[in-house]
Amino acid sequence: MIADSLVHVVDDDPAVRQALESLLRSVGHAVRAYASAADFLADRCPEVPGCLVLDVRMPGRSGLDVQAELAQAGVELPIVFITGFGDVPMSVAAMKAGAVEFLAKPFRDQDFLDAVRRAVDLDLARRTDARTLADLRRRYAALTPREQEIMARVVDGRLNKQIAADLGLSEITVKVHRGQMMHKMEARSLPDLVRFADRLSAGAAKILPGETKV
Amino acid sequence: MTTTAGDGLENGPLPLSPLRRVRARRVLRALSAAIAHEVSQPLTGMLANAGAGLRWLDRDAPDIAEARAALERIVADGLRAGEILDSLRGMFAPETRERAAVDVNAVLRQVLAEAEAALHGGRIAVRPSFDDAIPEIVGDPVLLRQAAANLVGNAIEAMAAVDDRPRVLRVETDRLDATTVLVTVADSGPGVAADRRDWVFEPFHSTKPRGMGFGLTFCRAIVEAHGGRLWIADNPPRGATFRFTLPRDGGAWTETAG
Repeated sequence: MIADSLVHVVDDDPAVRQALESLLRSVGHAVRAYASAADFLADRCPEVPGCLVLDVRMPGRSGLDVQAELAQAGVELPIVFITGFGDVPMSVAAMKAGAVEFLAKPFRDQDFLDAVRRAVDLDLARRTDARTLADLRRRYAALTPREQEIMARVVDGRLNKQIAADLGLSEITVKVHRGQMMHKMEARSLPDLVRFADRLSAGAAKILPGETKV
Repeated sequence: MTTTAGDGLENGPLPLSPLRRVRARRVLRALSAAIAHEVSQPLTGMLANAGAGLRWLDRDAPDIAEARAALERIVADGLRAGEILDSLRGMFAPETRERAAVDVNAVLRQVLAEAEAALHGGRIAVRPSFDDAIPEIVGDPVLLRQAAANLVGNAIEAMAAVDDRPRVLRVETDRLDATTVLVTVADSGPGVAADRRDWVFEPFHSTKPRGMGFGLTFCRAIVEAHGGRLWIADNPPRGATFRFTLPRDGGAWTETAG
């Protein structure tokens, strides 16, 4: 499972960089090492799960600058920060901005490996989550406008009879649409459907039109 | 500022006035921060290499070549740590505790003489301008030399990549007033962006992956320990100007001076 991930190491100190790379490889991680964040960004690396190990030699804004830059470049990899100094305000800010770990040098080899492991796991979970959401969106997009209207009302707890009245349809017609909708959404039960709807609206607000138009 | 018990200064060989003690402590704090930073690099490498070596050996099929490479890197890290200690011994040489009448012009001339090879190699034109009317100041000549050398070294490095304009280093002294010397070290390098001017003085800032690099933190600590101030300005059209003041008597220095 480690083989399917890639750990990126950014450190301007060649000695530290080589040491971390060897340590990661010794437990089976695939590793790419860079002397600077710019080198990392310039590298067209494969889109595989993983994490970024970022050496922040200087505190203040620099480490967070890099983090912001990465975010801007669309890099969503979890970051393990390592630094010569456990600057507390900075580490708090880094955590808020999405850093997984903040390790002060020198650190134990096992602590480092554990942090990387957690970061990679986090990335795997994030990707699974993103795939699930994309899948749900595909299903939802496949619904007809009528089915989407009915889905919004079903999720709101409206009964077939009420929905039929809302939309000026016969109850039979509502039942047919509803069956189609449940089938296309791959929802086996009402709780399933509600969960999907929640996930969709959390993933992007406003995805369900006319939600509260009762 | 908080005082730190047991920093050893109270029991040092010199009877220190309270004011001097605070200044010394300030230098010591910047120094220890810089040392901690420098030493943590090889230590981090050693720990990671040792962990890697053990894991390469613990594999079902031990990888001797990888383990050996890790051990060799540990040796290199150890030697690097040793070099850091060597430079520290130089820093803590007895003469660094001196407090004497200092001719700032002489200090700067010496720094420029010592940097001559680097200046020549970097094809840098030096424009010294020393005011002979500046007062002697009371201070530590070795520390002051180190601070000035650091600024000159930074200027040389900053101009290394300059190709589209002359590489010029200005080193000047002026009489700011009857009792204060103003020192200027200006380069035609890329300059320091306005929003980075505080950042470069932070204790762990280093743009150099290797070397002792006490850096600007230490420069500022030395200057402030002498009752002066150190700051950055532009050097139009391109470049950075570092300026610091040195009051003749070591300064009407107060806790709030920085």
